[in-house]
Amino acid sequence: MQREISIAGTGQTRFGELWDKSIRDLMDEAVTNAITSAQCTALDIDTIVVANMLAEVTNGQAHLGALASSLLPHHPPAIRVEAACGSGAAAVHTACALLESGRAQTVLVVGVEKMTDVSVTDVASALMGAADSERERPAGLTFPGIFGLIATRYMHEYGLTRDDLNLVSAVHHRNAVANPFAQFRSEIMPEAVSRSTLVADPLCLLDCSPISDGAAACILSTTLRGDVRIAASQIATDQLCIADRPTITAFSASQEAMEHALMEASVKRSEIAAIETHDCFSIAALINLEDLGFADPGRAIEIYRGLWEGNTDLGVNRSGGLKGCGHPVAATGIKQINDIAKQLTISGHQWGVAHNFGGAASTAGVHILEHIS
Amino acid sequence: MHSFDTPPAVARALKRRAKSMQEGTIISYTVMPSHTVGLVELADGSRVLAELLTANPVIGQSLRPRMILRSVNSEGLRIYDVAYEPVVSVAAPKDTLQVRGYIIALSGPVGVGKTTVSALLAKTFPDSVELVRMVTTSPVTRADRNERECLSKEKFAELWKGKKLAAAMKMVVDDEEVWTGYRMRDIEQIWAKGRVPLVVTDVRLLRELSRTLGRRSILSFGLLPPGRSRRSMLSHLLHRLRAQGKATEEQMSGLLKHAVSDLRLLSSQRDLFTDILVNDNLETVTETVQARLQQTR
Repeated sequence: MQREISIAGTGQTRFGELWDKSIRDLMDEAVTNAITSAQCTALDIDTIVVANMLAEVTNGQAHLGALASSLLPHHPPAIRVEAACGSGAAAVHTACALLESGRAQTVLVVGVEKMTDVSVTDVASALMGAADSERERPAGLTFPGIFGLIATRYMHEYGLTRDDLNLVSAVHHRNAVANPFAQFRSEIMPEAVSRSTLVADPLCLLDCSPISDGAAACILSTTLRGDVRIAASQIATDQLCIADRPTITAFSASQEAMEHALMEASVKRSEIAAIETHDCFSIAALINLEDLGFADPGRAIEIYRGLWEGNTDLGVNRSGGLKGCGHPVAATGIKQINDIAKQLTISGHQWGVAHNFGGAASTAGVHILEHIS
Repeated sequence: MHSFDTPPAVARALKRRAKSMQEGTIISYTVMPSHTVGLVELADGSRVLAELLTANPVIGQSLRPRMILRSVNSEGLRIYDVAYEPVVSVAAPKDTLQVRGYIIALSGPVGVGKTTVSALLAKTFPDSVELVRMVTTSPVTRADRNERECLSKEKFAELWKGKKLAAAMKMVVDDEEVWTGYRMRDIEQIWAKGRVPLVVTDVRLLRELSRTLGRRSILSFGLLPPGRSRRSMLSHLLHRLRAQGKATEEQMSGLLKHAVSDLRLLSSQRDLFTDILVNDNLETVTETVQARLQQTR
């Protein structure tokens, strides 16, 4: 990083089906919470970066930069960033670039998604915009379908069983119980996952993150101080269509972003104590841990066994992940950074990583956070 | 209408389609409620995502391309797509491929009257037509005992692995995995009696059957409910189901979902059927089937 960037404040709404809140209400709540938690006033914010993927389709609303700006009394300049479900990480990355270049001193990053105003079919179809619209969609694929293909292949290559996969969602649900912002604060037993409705073989309903409303915001600054700083901000991309990739059981964008981030932060993987990773589907959580280098290919399930038994020190998706917290797509990347900041502050650990991706990891973002006491 | 159904998008898709008319192998697949999608590696090394015309895909299986009707857009443009079907059936051992006769198959969405028509046929030709019992892993009620036979999942898997089944497929009913199929032995026994086996079957099972027995040895009838549009057909089915009074409203919505995919399969896989009949009048339907039967004799 060219400059020292601190996380000066964080805030979010509860994630869930929030029928009484509009896209503006959601942003307003997250932004107000972020400003309240920071040692600053709204007037200290000199730029806004908004992350959003679907507002044109789900809310008939474009021009979210101006909408976000209108929430602050002095209407600072604002831009919108989109990288499908990885919009959050891309927005934080953009904010870091503005801060590093010196163009801004204090940036408000806000991610918002309001998905429950339209039917499930329409949302599923809109989300397919994150894939290749002329090659993947006509085959009749949805995102659960794409990850169903990935899961089938992963099981074939590494011998992962359906019972193994059940543990992933069970761990995430258990972690979400203690998170007041989570959509599903209820435990589920592993068997319940494979007994839930089959969506795209081998994936069942409880393997999939839900459709959610929600917003998350953070204030990044080179002038204001906070307990946690951003030590690395990296994004990487991959082929948009999974048919163009040499393998579908690993995501090269995640691997690349992680390697670059470790170099940028000058930290060893073994020093990282907390991870928030993008478990849009249970199988993705396993692949992510391997891509981030915490497990060898095909072995990530051992980490989840450890998490389920409670005999590992590594913190993975302590918030509940996308499965437990809900997944308002563009808010997720920012929520992960807020969660890592909170976890480091409370636990006193030094290093944490937030890993967010868009589509089938066609864009991946990795942020490494350091707790400075 | 989606943007990929517009004439310019279809014209672009044509170019890609020409390239994907090659043989290939399955790299991965996923079975969704209404269809199966595969990631396929083609002979030239490129990969495509496409529908697989099989209920039981296996990684590494060899495939050949086949055109299917995907949709008709609002301007009446019929949009075809490339799908892939396995070159060799999993269920068919080579030595049973000597077909000794033909079979009659009735397919169609739930509630269209398949059972009624089959009962009428069996009644009209008591000495020449006999219903083949379906084998299934789901529990069978007393009333169904003549039509279905319940097997344990292990027993079913054993039959399948031993290539004793003429066709088999997996479905998900009430969140339970259910396997259904037909035993080769049952069909052969009916042939041995000099009768014609009759199956009341799902479109996907019919495709498996046509692979095992050969398409030409199946006299197959697709039954459609009356109605001009898919919506009116579905509402017709719903009325029939309600009148039967067997299913709860909750089950009904599940059945209707299956009906939607059945109607879709019936139109996209037209080649599987000798005749598509609209079941608005039971007599006309049975007469047509009977006429076809007479021709074949």
